[in-house]
Amino acid sequence: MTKSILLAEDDKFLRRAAETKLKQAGFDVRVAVDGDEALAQAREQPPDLMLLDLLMPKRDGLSVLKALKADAATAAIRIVIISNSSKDLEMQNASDLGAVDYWIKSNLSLQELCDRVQRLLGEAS
Amino acid sequence: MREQHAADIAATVREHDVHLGGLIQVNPLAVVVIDAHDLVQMCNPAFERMFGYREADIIGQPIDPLIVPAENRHEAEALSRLGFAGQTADSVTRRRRKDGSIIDVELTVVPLSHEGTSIGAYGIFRDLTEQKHAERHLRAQYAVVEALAHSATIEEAAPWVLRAVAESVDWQLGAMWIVDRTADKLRCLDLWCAADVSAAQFEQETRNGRFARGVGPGRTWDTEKPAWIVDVTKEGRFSRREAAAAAGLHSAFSFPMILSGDVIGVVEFFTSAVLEPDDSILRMFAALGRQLGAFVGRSRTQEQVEGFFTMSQDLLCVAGFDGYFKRVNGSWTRVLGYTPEELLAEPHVNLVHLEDREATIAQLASLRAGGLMNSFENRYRCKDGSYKWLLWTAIAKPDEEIIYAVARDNTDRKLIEQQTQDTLRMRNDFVSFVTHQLRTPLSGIKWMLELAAEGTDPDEKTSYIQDAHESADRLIGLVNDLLDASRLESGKLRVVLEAVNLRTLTGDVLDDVTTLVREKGHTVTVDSATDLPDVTSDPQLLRQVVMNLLSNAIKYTPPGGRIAIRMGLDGRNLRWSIHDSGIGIPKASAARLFEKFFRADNVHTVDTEGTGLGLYLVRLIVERFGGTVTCESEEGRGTTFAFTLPRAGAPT
Repeated sequence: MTKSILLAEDDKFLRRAAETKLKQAGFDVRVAVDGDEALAQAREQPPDLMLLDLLMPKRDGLSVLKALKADAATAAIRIVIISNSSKDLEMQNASDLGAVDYWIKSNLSLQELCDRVQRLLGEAS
Repeated sequence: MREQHAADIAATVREHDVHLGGLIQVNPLAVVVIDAHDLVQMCNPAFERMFGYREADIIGQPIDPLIVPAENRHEAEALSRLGFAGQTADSVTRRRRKDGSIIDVELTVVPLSHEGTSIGAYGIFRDLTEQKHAERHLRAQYAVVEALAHSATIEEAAPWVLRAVAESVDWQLGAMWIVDRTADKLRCLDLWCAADVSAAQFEQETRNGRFARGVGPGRTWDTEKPAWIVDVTKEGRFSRREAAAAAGLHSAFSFPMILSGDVIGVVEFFTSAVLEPDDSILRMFAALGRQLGAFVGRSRTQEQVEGFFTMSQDLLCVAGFDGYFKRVNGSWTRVLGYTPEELLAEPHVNLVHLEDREATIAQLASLRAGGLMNSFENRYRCKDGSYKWLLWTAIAKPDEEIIYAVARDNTDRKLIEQQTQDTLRMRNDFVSFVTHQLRTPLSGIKWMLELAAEGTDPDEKTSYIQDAHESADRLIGLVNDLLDASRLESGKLRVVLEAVNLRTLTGDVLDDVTTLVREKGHTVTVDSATDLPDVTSDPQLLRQVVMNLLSNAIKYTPPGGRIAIRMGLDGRNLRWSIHDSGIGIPKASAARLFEKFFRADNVHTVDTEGTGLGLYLVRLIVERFGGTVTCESEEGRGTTFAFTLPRAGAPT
């Protein structure tokens, strides 16, 4: 069964690159360009995995994370933070709020990103 | 007949005396024999010594006019009558010597009878001078101690001391002089005068007098010893003698006030009598002078301590173990704004910031247990509701249940510490934000190149490489903006000042963005006078300002919007504005638009498509050339950004 991924990323280049790569790997990928959209899509159709950027317009990633974890209907969604910020405080907050992991985009190749997603979703199935 | 009678009495008495072994003649008590008419019949050598009369001079004279002061006349007559009536009588009273001076005596009257008939009386006098002196001495001492105990300063004590001493020796006027070190003169501190003496002129001369060492009371200052003048009205060197004569003052004595071997003042007394030097008085007052000197020394020490207490810029206080201030100095009012009464009225811990209260109470407890409070800091609430940081040093005296404490207003230093911390935090925020902003286009380049490398479709590959290219441009733009901002902030950016025509410059920028404008379907209008004066600026930087504002307007205005640029004179400035019909900016954000992007509270609102530095740079550049930049916006109605710059040639 095809696993679904919700990719919330405001930078159009990163969004395009990650979406392309994950689709090539056979995932069902939906995208959101800001925080509000990310929240709406996750509620409308909870994905198997959510890749959530932190610094986004309208609503930041931590606030999306918090809202999803607070709602029983979406609390089970596995969420990985993908950010280029490496502030200790943000990492800690993300972990406290229930994020599965915290990845720094610039430190990953697309292939590594894809492999990690596969590992995570493989474990889950 | 009368003489015969007198001779009989004298003979009888002498006869008795012989029988008694010369008891009368050699007696140390003064003895006088009078007849029933109060006439002197005989006196002994002790009487001659005590009163200054020789027996031969007074035989047959009435006794009372000789030795009884007017005010004792009745009492003397009553005593005689008792004696003549055959009774022994005793009295402590006063008599007068030949020289007019008064002597305190104990007088015993013993009847003198001959063959059962009263023929006269013995008067036996005991000299009470020494005893009276001792009593006066004690009285004066007591009065002086009393006066000093109730006074804080010698100025306060002076009138009481002068009065106590003068009254105890029955003198009419006293004055206290203090050494004025600066002027090197004696200055009158105070003067006391008995009510029944009119000495207005003398008082005026004394109070206004300034005496150098060796002159007037300055002689006592010079000799450092008590001095006695029998009659100042006859003393050529006494400058106030005419005023003294007018006031009826004659004898004077003075003594120095001595502190640690130095004369610090002089006290002088005057009497209406003419008196020979009295050693006992001089001795007594030498001791008093040392006592007064010591008092001045103590009160000066006290004054110095008071001076420190009053003048200190630090907050000094004395507090009780009961939790209340007992005393605070003026700095408390200066720093916190409360009156001393307000500070003393409630437990001092009530004024401590809630967050610091627990630590303060713990500090006070260890202080009461005999500890020392050092470098403890807490916040005190001011009367206006603000808080001040106080840095404490304190020590307790458990025996007296008293705490002595000094607090320093440390608010300014705390503020600097706080600012330093803020600066550090801001720098960290800046670094992490810049890191993020750099990583994003870098990731874009990296991922796009990765896709391009793996891709097989040539068109797709080209598209990935274009995106990588665009990301790289964004990265370069960001790095350049950062560098410009940093140089502008530190004032190190090299600027080329030229006369710039804003109208021409705006036209050039518009040419560059024609494609963008067309893509979004905007209409751009420019409204400017043709003869717009130049501004003095760096053309490249000014171009950046116009470009940033214009591209913002294009970017944030929904497709098909209207953008209006206006240029005109505003006083001696040029005003350039750009109005768009976009969505507008919320008021709260508008105020912060020109701040640097890394402000923590607006990070998530930063436009992540841009660098976050555009408007900040606009502000830096405009301000660099002496202008200001503003933003007026109404949500849903559009936004106007405007900047002003001084016209070329206008004084800046």
